[in-house]
Amino acid sequence: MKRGFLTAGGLVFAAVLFFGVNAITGAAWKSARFDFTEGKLYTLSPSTHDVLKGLYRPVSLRLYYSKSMANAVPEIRTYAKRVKELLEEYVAYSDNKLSLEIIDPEPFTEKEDRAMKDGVQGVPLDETGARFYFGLHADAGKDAKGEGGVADVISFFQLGKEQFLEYDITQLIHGLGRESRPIVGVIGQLPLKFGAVSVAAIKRGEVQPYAILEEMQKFFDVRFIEDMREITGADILLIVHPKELSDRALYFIDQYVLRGGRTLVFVDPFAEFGTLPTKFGDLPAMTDRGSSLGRLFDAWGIEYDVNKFVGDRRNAETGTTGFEINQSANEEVVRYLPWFRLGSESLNQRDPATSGLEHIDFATAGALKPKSGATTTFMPLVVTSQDSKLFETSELVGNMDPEKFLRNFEPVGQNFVVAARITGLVKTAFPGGPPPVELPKETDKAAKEDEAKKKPEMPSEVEVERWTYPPIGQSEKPVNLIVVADTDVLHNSRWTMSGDFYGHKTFTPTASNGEFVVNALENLVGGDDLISLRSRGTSYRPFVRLHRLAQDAEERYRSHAKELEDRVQGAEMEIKNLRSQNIYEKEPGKLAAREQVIRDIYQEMFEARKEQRDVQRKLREDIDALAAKLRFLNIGLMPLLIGFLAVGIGVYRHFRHGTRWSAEKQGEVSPS
Amino acid sequence: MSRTFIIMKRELASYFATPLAYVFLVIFLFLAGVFTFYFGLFIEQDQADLRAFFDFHPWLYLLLMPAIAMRLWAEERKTGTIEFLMSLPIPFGATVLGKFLAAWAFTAIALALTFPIWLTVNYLGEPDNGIIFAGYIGSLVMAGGYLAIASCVSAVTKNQVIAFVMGVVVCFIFTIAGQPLVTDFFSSWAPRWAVELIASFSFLTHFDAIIEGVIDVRDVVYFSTLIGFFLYANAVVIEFKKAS
Repeated sequence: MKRGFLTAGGLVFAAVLFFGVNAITGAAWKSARFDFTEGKLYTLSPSTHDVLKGLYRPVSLRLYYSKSMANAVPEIRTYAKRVKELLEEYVAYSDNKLSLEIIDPEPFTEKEDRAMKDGVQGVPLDETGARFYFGLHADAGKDAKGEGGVADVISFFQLGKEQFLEYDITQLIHGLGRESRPIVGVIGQLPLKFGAVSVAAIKRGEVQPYAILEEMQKFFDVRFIEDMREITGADILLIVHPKELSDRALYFIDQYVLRGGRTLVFVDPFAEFGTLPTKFGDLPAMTDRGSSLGRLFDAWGIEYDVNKFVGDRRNAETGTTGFEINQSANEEVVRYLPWFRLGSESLNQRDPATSGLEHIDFATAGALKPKSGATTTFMPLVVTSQDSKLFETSELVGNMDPEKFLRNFEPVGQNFVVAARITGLVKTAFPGGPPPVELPKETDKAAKEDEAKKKPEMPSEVEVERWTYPPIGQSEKPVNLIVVADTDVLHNSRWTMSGDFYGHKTFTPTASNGEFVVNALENLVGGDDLISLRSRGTSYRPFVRLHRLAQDAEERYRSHAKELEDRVQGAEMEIKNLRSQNIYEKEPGKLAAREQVIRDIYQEMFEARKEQRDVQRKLREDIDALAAKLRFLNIGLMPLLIGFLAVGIGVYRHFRHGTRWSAEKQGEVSPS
Repeated sequence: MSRTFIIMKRELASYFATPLAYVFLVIFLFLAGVFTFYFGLFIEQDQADLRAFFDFHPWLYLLLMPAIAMRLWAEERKTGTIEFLMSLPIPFGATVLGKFLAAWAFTAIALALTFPIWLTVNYLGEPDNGIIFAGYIGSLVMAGGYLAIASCVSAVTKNQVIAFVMGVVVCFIFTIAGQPLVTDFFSSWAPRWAVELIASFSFLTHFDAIIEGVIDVRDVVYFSTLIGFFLYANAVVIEFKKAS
């Protein structure tokens, strides 16, 4: 180094350089980082980058986090830090289209009111009435064209859904940043719009739309497809109970899927609810309640038998839960195998469509399985327990006696798939080209006139070609479909409890069926970006060894602890009973005796409590002993070892020095 | 570079020539353990990470790094050996860098001796060792920042106690720059960008990001430019002192 540089001027220049370089890198290099975390927790996936790049309008994010109250819950504190940093990463990548505000809604402040107004859920952590907030509100303000002004919220970041954190945030932003609500085209015979009522009732305005329809309309523009030409305008197709679909209609669906169209399908071997009455007002024949997509399923690699339904003994609903069951007039509580409630252990926790849901209620659901030699990947989303068996739908006709299914029930020890996601490349189900145009039958003139009024004039072959673009024989990119083998899952009675609020019909969810449908649609409509978003690792890592120790100790003392608890409770109850017996108070002798009895019970209770405390202390003993050992090892051991080493070296040097010194004195070695 | 290495070796050996190095190691390891287990509530937090351990490093370094570095130049100046050092056929920059690297290597040894805590956390749970690795790197780099400052301050005075106190003060300013104590003072009158700039020079801000498992290029640039600047300032101060 030349000393000419070492001047006051050089120092000033170096200072300017130091501040300048840091100011520039601070502003310009916002996303260059090395993520050492196991699951790359702080690195946004390419899918999220694509969503952020494609943002149509600015979105403001407000993270509500009760920082002041979070000390009581360490795992939430860790998680909150991750959420905050991930959101900052979103903002850094968003090219100024996202903004983030972090708000601590302290109890009983205006900020708390704002959190509530924004739909963020407050959770009481203690009995003071103060609520803990941890949610994200996002709104897309109106843009120059006056579009926007929509908002959405993650009301509470649940710890259990941490692996879907990025997915949930990206979905939220994606939903707000898009230009308009996605169009869901609905095909099929389930009367979502009117309920299963007669045409006359519809005319009288006595319609009962499915609650699921209202749920869907919150997020999507739902359009009922009357004319198959309209499916090309749908962002996603919802096929519910596809009975009697013509080959031409199936062809349209086939081409839609091959061209990358996302589709959610509900078929059913036996649709118990929502079957439309015939034109004479009767319910359709019991033998005619099934639906399938037949040749399309073959092409997509799905095997499904429309004549069979699953019975699940472990998850079966109990009691006389429906009108059909009541026919048995059985007063005893029994399990009705065809109806079951599948909880989180039956729902695929690694798929965004089913992860985090509590339970889904099914009724006479069918079973799906991958077809041998299929080109697609079949991923189960919902499965029954192994305590299940397939039944013929013909067994449902006539007598629906619950005991009939329980009798001779022998589980096959296999999980049946009730809902699945199908991905991959598929070939057309119509290799021979489009089926010929079907014209209305000439048999019933009135029906023909009716059809003519309802439908546009049937097009020519050439026109059909024009609607659907040239037919393709193979999917251009992997298809993404979700197939559910039950349509009753959509019916109000399976997942809601209806009520009346000042003349307005209300529905309170009792199962996650609605959430499942909306999740699945959102997931499918999100396109490749959302679908390919991978689930991430969790940042909460407990001391498993300590937990295991605590569990072992608890196992050891559980029966004793329970016995003590029973003793204390029994004593408390006895004292309460004795005190409430006023009759004794009128007779002094009995009063004294009663007091003595109460004193004895108290004594016994105190002893039991003392024992309880001892047990509690013993439960902690192993953990405390281990903690003490670890404290010593980490605080004392190393300093002690170094201390000994230092003393050892000192002693060694002293003696070495001493030996050398005496040798030098005797002239044996010359001093160095 | 080899001359820098020679200086570094000589300095590092001189640390262990006296009991001071052992005393320092004992104090560092003892305090790190006490802070982690008693103030950081390592066991009670029930989290298989070393957050409770790393969280106290800035405060430990605030006192211990100036203690290590106080003798680097102050002692040489007091005993007059600086004249001898300057007369050696070794570039001046190599001397400054060598002394700094020796102190840094000594800190690295001290840090490496905390490995029982890493074993402990792996014994108790399943930690993310990537985050722990980043934490150790961050801690070492931050220690380098403190040492560079303290080394520069040590060159200003012949008195080691004054060098220590001044080192602590300057390091403290760099530690808390991003804390409300400082930002609140500036935010009342300074523009927002200026406050953010001041906050961005805090050791804590940069270190906090690293111990989460993410090493940002901005953190790397910050610590390396800081070390570079203070070593340069160190050389300038010695040049001035020599001239006067």
